[in-house]
Amino acid sequence: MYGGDEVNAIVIDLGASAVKAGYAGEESPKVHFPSCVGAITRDKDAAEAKANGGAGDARDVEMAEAGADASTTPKKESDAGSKSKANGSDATRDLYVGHFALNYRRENMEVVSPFDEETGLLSDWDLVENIWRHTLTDRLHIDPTEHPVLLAEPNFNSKECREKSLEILFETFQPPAVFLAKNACLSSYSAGRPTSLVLDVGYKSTVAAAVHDGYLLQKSVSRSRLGGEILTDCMQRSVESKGVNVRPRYAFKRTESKQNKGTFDVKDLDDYKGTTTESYHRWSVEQIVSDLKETVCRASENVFNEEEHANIPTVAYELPDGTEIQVGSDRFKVPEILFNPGLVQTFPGAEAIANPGGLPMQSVTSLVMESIARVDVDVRKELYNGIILAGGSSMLPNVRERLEREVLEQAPGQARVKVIASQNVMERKFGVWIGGSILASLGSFQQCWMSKQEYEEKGASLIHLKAP
Amino acid sequence: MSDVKDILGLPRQGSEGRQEKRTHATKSVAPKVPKGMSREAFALLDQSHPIMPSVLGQLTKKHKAEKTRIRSKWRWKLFKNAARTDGLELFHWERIHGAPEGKMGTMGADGEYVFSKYNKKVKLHRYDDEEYRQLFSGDPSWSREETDYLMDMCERFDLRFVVIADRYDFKNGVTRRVEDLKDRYYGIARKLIVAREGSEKTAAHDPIVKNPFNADHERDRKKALEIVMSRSAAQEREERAILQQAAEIEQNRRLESIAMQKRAGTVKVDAVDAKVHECSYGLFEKRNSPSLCSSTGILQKPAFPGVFPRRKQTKKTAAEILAALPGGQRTQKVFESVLAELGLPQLNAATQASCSAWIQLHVEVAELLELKKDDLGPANGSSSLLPAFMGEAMQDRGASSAGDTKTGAPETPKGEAEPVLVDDTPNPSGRSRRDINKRKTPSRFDDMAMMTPRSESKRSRTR
Repeated sequence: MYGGDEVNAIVIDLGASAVKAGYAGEESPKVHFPSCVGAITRDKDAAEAKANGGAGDARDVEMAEAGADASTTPKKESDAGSKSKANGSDATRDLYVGHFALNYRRENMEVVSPFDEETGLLSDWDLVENIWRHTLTDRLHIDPTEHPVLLAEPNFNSKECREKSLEILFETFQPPAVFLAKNACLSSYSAGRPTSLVLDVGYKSTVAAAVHDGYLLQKSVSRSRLGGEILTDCMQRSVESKGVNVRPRYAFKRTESKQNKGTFDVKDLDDYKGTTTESYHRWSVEQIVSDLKETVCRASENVFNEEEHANIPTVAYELPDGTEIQVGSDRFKVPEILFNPGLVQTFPGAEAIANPGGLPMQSVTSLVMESIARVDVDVRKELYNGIILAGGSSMLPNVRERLEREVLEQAPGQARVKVIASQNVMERKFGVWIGGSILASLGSFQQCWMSKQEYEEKGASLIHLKAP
Repeated sequence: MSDVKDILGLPRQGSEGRQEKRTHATKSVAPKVPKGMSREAFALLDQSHPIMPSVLGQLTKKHKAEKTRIRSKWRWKLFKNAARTDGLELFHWERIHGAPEGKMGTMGADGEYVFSKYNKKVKLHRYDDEEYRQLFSGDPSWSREETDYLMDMCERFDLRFVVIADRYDFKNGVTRRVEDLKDRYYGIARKLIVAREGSEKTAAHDPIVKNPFNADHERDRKKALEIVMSRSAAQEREERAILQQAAEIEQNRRLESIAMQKRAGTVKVDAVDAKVHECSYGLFEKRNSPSLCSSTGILQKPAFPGVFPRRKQTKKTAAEILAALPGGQRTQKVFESVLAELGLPQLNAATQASCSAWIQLHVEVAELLELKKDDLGPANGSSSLLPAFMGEAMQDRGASSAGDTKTGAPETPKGEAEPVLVDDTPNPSGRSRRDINKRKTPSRFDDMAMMTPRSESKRSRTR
């Protein structure tokens, strides 16, 4: 690669929905698994000391039976195992990290996220450490002391969070060098523009931020509660209101019927009731509905009109338990929420949607306009000309065209509006990671790392100078 | 059935067939085909039918290509980065040999890291305590600490003021905008350069000194830009529509006024002449070459391109005017005598101004004759043709030298033109008794205004 230098750095992007990690210089991350972790609170005298086994690389969610066969030695991260930090009187947890481990239903396993609900920043550092260990040691099979690490961090990351991340990394894993880069800057690099407005439609929230000359403009960061989570939630309510019960994969069993070869009988299992936690149940159902949303939904070209779309031909989708459902105007209604948040109220039971951080439910268009308005006047034209669409939830078809049209309407006539979104699925989903991959493999970046020696001499607060 | 099986290479007897096939493959590639017999025919004779590839040629080609391909070797090597201050040593892959030409390696000629040279810093102008005390302590809104903080930020962000303004966080409650920061920094830089060089003149080579930063201008510009940017596309469309209507109205008005003049019979230029300079009466025309007047006084383009022989053309025009005089020879004689009395029987200096004036003179005399014809009988002598005011002009003429037609030509027409010149603006002193005979309508004579002393500079253009 021109201007590149392979130092074998590792790039880790810990997002609200998934963790992406891999070597710098590559096209896509090698490691990709959910960032939620299964945790079983262990009593003081619990005796299960399961050995650490190797984790499989299966990305597909398997059914409960198959899962039980293969994972006889399930992946287990014990935070009391390697370093005895645990206080005797506190209940400690067994943590199950990774796709494979999480999809196997365990009794009393809660699904927890390392992110704090209110601030959206990392707060559960035990979890974070375990996630990193799982990534580096189990999935990438590397020795962290040999590879510099580049971490992607949220645009609104606080100083304390940054210092804490650095501390954990250096103390526990001891890489030779570390760097923290903002998500928006990395998305901007992956699109090849030094100045742009990055709209990251993520899982828990959507963030719009302006990047100027490679630096993030902090005052331009604006967030909205809308994101993949809300879209999935609305989809689920809509489906359930039609009488369909979405059964998680561990709740049924499909056997080939003896009479007709090729058809399947579905039998409800009930041994899971009582021991499965609510959060796990919700998480499993969410996985299914999320797949439904990704398959079936598309954004409409113009403003969504309920009556117009009432006559849209429906699309069939088969749930894992064999139930076929027909999806009609919801196909367009759900993505429309991004542009018109008021629609959320039209879904049954939507008042129950939590908003712990108190973030506004702003449409993506108004987010973009607000972010640009906060920036110095001279830069605005360039920002309009390069609006970068990133994030997993932006992969719904037609979102790019729709956003361009909406922004064009509200933008001044002087400005040329252009929304950039890569056609390649990989690039949009992993945009932040790819930006990190590019950055860490550049020759002229090698002078920017914060080395272990600097950390020991000057402390973690040096990161604010080194990585502004 | 067995033929088919043979063709397909299937075993004839169940499981042993597998081993058979294998031994076949390892045994031989091809039994010799007798001459004259086709391959297919020979195959029919044989019991077994190994499937032979017929593309042997391509295999050898590939082999050659593989041989000549460059194989480069890499090694994992420790490297030092000169741009780093802490001595961090990382490893990277280095090519040992076999690099194709043109590809840059990461280690330069003398073992130095190639990318170190990209560690460029912007040239910052920093002061020391002494200079600060002397030059900069005057500004009340900027404390020493804040100024130091600003300089640090400039260094960190390489003078990217937009980013600096974004990250600026000095705890004194005043929000600093981009132009404030720029103002302070460039003010400091400028004073420093000037102070170090000695005087402003010697320092003038530096662009910061040459073009000082004008904060007020920036603020106004930004305000205006903000207003422009905050107008949405819908508003712009409205505005454009309104402007379009206004332009149409203007156009209509202009066309009407020109039509009016046309009716009055004194239009000089086409309606599309862009040089029509409009006042409230709409007819103060700026013209480039009045000597292109034809006999009727209407401006026209020369019939042929290239050099314009003014004298010849002027004479021709004059002759035309003469010829067009009604009344034949007699009036022509009268005409010529009038001219002789004025002292301008012929043109001496053929400049643009004098030629056009001369032609105008002809035109006016012709008109004069016409008018006179109505009032007076043919018995009147030529002397009475010249009204009293002409006497002054002749005196003037007499005063100036005969050869100096440059001043002469404009003077006499001026003398004649003054009463003749009809300004469209209501001029209380304009109409004297001398003007009674003169036309009261706006005439083409306003190009005489060009002949006033104001326009004498035009003469320097010609010749």
